[in-house]
Amino acid sequence: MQCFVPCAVDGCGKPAFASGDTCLDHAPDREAALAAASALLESSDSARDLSFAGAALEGLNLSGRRFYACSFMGASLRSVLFTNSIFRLCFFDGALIDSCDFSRIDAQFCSFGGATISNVSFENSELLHVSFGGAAISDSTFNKSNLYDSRFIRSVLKNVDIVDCDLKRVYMLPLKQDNVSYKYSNTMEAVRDLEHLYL
Amino acid sequence: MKLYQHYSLYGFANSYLLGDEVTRRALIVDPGEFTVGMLNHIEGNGFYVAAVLLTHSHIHHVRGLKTLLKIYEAEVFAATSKVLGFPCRVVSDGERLAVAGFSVDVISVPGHSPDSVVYKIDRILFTGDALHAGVIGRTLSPFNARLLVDGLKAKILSQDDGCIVLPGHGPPSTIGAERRSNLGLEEGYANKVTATYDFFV
Repeated sequence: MQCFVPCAVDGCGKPAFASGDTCLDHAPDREAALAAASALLESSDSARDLSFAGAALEGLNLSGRRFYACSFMGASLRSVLFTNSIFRLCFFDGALIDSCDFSRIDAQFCSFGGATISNVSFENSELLHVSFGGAAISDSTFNKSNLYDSRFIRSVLKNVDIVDCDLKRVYMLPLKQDNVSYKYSNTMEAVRDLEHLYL
Repeated sequence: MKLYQHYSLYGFANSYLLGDEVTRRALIVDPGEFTVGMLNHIEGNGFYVAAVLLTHSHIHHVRGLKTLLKIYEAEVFAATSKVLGFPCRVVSDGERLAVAGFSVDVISVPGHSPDSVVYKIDRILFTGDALHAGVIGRTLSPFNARLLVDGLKAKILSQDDGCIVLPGHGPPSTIGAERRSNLGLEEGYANKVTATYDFFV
């Protein structure tokens, strides 16, 4: 896992985009590369070791897919359905995630660091060892999810429901929160100050 | 290259198995425990563990050595000469190692412990307890905190934004995300650290 093919352009160093030879910046036809990536995602049941960094994906139904070691860093995801999907070691750092559905997903060891997440449902999900560090999350719900060992460090939360969630070992140290509900969640088992870090 | 993460309930620590699909040789980073499940996974994929990389010698990251070395004749790499009585090949800052078919860069980042090192393989950083998602490793004094923060800023956060951080505890991250939102890298953090001598991992 995380065995990306490097961009074919000398000195670039970025992973190649989707199944192509170059990263998106060096793709000879950016639009064609994006269309190919969308087609690849929609046609496959699983994706492994693929980078979709910087992709703009909209209106895709990727429900029930399996993603292993895939990167969506800096991608723009709008109205994409990931319902019931499985994620392992996947990265959404710096991504813009708007009006997407991540409900009933099984995500382990993933990162949404610095992502902008709005109008997204993570309800009824397994979100184990997932980092939301520095993410700006608004108008979203995590209700009835297991967030074991996940982290919300320096996140900005606005209009977020974290209702009836398992927060055991969750680092809940947001930079700012406004209208966040933790009703029925075991907040006492979360780490809420620096004195109690388990490091 | 195949990478697997194992979450150890002993110390809630992460271990990583990195295998070469051609040579079937593998290395393990921080075997906090070595379970039957891990053994079955390694054997089921046809790997032989040829090396162990230790990011530091705290017990929650090394206890599995006792079992692992009874099964595999693996060379142990660490920044100290002996761990749990097992001799180690001592690594030093800036060294490039050829381990189990992988090119491994050694980056010394003391502070959490004197022997803390980060291993870089391709675009992946195995940071041990030096750097976690959102926080840095616990230190025993403001001096150690400053040492760690300075080391991280100079050697780790200077890496590319897209480099992946695989820490000794907790979820993964990226260098870009840590540079922007790690609590331990806030200005003045080191001065807030008070000397504590309670048990830590």
